[in-house]
Amino acid sequence: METIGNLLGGLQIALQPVNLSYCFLGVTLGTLLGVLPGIGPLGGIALLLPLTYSMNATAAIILLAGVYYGTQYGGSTTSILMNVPGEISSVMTCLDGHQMALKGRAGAALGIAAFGSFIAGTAGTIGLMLIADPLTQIALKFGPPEFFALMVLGLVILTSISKGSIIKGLIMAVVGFGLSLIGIDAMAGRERFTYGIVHFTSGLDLGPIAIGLFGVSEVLMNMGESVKMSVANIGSKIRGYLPSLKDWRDSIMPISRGTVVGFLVGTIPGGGVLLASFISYALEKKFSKHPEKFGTGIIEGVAAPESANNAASSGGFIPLFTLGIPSTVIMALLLGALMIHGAQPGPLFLSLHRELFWGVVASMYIGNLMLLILNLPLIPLWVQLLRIPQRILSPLIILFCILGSYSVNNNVLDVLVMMIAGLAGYILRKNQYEVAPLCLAFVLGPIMENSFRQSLILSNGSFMIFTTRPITVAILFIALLLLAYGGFRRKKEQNPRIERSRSDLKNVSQGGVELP
Amino acid sequence: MMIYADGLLWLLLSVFLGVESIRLGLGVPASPGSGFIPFLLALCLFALSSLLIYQTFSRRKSRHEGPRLGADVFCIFCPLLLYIPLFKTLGYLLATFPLMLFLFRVMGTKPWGWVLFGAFVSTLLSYFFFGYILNLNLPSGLIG
Repeated sequence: METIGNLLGGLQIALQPVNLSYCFLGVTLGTLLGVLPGIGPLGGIALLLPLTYSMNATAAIILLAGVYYGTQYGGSTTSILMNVPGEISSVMTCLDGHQMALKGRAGAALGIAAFGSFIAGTAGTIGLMLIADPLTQIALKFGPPEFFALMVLGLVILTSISKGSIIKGLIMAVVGFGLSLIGIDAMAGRERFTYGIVHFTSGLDLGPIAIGLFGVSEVLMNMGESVKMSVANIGSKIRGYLPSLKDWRDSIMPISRGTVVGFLVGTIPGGGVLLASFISYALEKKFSKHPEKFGTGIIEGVAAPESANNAASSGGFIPLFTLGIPSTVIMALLLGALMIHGAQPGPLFLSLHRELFWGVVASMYIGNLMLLILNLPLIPLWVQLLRIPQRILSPLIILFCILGSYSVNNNVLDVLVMMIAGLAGYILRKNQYEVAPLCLAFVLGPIMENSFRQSLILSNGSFMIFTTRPITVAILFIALLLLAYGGFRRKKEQNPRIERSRSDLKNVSQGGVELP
Repeated sequence: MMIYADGLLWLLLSVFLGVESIRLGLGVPASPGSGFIPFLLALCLFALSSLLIYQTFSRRKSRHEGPRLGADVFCIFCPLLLYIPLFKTLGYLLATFPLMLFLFRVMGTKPWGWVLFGAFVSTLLSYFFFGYILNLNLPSGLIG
């Protein structure tokens, strides 16, 4: 009963004209970013982050969250029509979605993707609403060692599931942590690594670094690669967005299973939307009576991953709001946004920022409804946007990157930081370094340092505090297991047979989006 | 030697971080100083970079020389760096218009008419949107 009362209160906040406009703007921009290959939710949120500094916290998070789950909807359009995932989480949708489009069933594929996303997104939001409060009660029992261990776990999960060498991933996490230490040490009041540059005394801003790492480096990475756009043949003939009764019968269980799996995977730190869509696709194939038909253009192959990635995007908010742990880099950017607006996520978040939490939850219901309305009738418009060539988009993205980073402090030094981060991101990515752990560690760094130092002070300098508290030990043990598993998985991947099958699957993503 | 470059770079960075941490003061575990965490990070980075060098060494026969970084990327990056001082002195409009001209041209838009049109419209619209609608304090420079 209390939950319904809270939700109604949240709806009152979300339905305020300002918040409603930001929700609409967020989901529209999100769909646009999802549709256009070249800049995903990370780049988009990074670009928008500085522009939200002047907004109130609720409006800012409603906008950024809208962008995030909006991209999950939009990504499917490009996957189905062009066989190029507009967004990384839509890679699996290419397999059957594009085949359906080639068979003249693009409308049904787009329709079930939109309906599945809506059902999963709404169910995920209900899950978020129901689970957040009880989890907060558990998290209230956590002390600094448990929080430190949780953040280590988040970093390890992200490092172990990302592609490439695990050592390189860990190096990135250490570098990100190191960068977060630039500025004044909050506990001792002493400057660190500023070398007399006044601008650095308050630390490096997340905005310019994220814009550089994900926005500029993405443009630079795309420069050498030509994305083949062949939407014309399919795009002009799309019709019948409403799935038939048979389509619904075939899709309802994949949507249900995709929702549950996606939500659960989304709540795990490091889980994320990509992993959710992979697992749900594999699961559907296992459950199916005709697994051999997967990849030939069956509707289950679209319904399951599309539902899973939307449910995961809602599930990802649970560890963020209740524990203050971002489950993915996008959540890390949202954590940064919350902190900039003076709202520290964690066990006290729900009691201290009740209006913000319920306002954002309520806006997700509204946003999902907006997306359903946006996605079906506006598909012809999105198809037209797909025809904008990369040679026009790229200069515009760079211009927005410059303006986005300048707007952080109205300081040109932030533009310089952004450009250096962009070049560094490009060089690192070219050398098979994942920049996601760097960004996550940069956001978590100050909290990790505080938790670590507080733990040591609590134990009078004994490191044994991390090995004597049961929850801390359990979390660190899981982190260790995951690290070992990550190493083992990479060793297995060096097997030439597995490499070959991966490269077959990679052919799906002609737009240069790589599988993990 | 190039294949060890990244490992060596991280190794050097770890040494630098370690030295700086000691300069900041490590404190004692019961009361950690400002350099305590950076020192632990330096140790981690040292260990990881050593492992990376070892890994590269043990696989050097099966690995290629590493990726080539696109020269065109650096061609774009240098004008971007030049843009920063111009942004402040010439102002947003005068500095951004030539930058956009350059970016549109170098990224593949061929007819000069389209390049000029794209640069003009994007500069003006972005100035209007960010400067007026979002109230961003863009430098007016020589025009102001």
